[in-house]
Amino acid sequence: MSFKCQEQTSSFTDTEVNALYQPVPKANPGLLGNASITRDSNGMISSSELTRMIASLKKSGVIPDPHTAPTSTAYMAKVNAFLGSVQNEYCWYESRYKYVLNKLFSTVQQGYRSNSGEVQMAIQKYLKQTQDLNKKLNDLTQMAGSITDDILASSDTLSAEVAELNAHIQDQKVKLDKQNKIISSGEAAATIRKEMVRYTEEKARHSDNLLKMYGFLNIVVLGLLVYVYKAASD
Amino acid sequence: MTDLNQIINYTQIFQDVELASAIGQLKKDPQALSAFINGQQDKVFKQVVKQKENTFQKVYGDLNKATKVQETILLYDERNRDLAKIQEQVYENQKQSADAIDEDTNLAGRKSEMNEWSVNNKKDTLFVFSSIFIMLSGLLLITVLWRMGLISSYLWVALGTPLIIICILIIVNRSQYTDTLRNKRYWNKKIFEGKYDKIPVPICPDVLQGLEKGLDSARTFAQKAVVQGANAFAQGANAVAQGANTFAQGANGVTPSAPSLASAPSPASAPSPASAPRK
Repeated sequence: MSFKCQEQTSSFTDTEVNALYQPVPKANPGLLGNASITRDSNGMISSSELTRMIASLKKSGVIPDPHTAPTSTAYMAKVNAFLGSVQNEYCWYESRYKYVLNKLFSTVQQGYRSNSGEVQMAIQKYLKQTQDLNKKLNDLTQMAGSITDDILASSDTLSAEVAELNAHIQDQKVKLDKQNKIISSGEAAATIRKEMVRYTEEKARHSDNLLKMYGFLNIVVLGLLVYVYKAASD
Repeated sequence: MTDLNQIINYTQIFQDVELASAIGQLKKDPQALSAFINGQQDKVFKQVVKQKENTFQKVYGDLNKATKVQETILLYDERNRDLAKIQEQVYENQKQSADAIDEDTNLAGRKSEMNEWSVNNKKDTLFVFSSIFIMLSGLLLITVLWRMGLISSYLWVALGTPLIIICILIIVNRSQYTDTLRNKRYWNKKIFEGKYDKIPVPICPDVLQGLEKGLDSARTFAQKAVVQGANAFAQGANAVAQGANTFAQGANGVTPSAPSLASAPSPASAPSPASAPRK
């Protein structure tokens, strides 16, 4: 995914050329601050310094961290804002770089025609500014590369988490299968026992009927006995 | 090879000469020189800027792709978490169902036991009712007989009293048994505790060996007794057979046509009827 910076039509003052990236209000701050940076012999940021800078940027929330984002949607919004700010910062320095480089070439060309001390000073000034802005652009490129590495490393961590969750899901699946079997067999036992309850209730009703019948017969026989005994007395 | 090196050297010399002549011409014409320098500067400028842009575009593209990959993994992770949560909920629900089923099963089992006890109690009551019915029927019968004058009052009392006593004994016995000795959970079980201690049954190898020895000696004794009894029976049978033969011989002396008792089979070593001597 490429992007195109806006063409700079107006000229820059020296102050504007030397100015650090100033983001629009409420936008992400830039990757490059004004703090001194430890560099190697080639003028590139050292790897330890890069690690420190990225850790600092992550801590301050400039680089979004998936582990601290409340939701994935929030994280994606932060990532989009971050990518936008990287673009803006690059365009900021790139426009100045183009301007200063152009000025440098013009001054050098002017030096061919009249090589005065003033021209030499201008050449030195533009050369210095070009070098500074070139460093900034290189730093940005290095930072972007390191952030990519960092994101891929944290992706590995996320992948490990995903694998762990997958294993957990598989375990749960096995547990659910076992539980299903228990429920199925338990249901069968419960059904049998409920049938047994129904059967014993039926038996109880049968016994009740017999009890009523015998109770009635006893009363009848007792009545007859009393009747016969009384008849004998009479 | 030497010719080739010479050709290369000549070519380089020609190029240098041509470059020098071109520079000389440009120096003569300032406008052409300026245009040339402008063109070269523009070319270098564009190349430098393009290189910078390309490098950064490449790095930025990588960064963008990495963030997209991370987003994808993050979403995958989130879906997995959701799935795990759903699975956890399903597991909890199923656990509750399984517990409920277990409780239902236990409850139904206990209810079934209670019903069974109740039914057996009713059957016992039925037994008592039928006893009363039999007793009353008996009393009614003898009362009718007494009323008709077929039996006396004394006989009525003599027959009726046992009937009443038996019935009362049955009722008291059943009631006592159910109240004190019957297991309150299982109808068919009896409680053996309370009045006496439990009988100690030590399970020791010596005791088991003693029991086995006792059983063996009892078995041997029984076998011996059976054998001795059989022998004694055989001897007795022989003696009876001999006595019978003697008797038959004596009888043959009186009535020649009388059948011989010796033809009857003896329990032991008796000859078969077919082989018995006939006279």
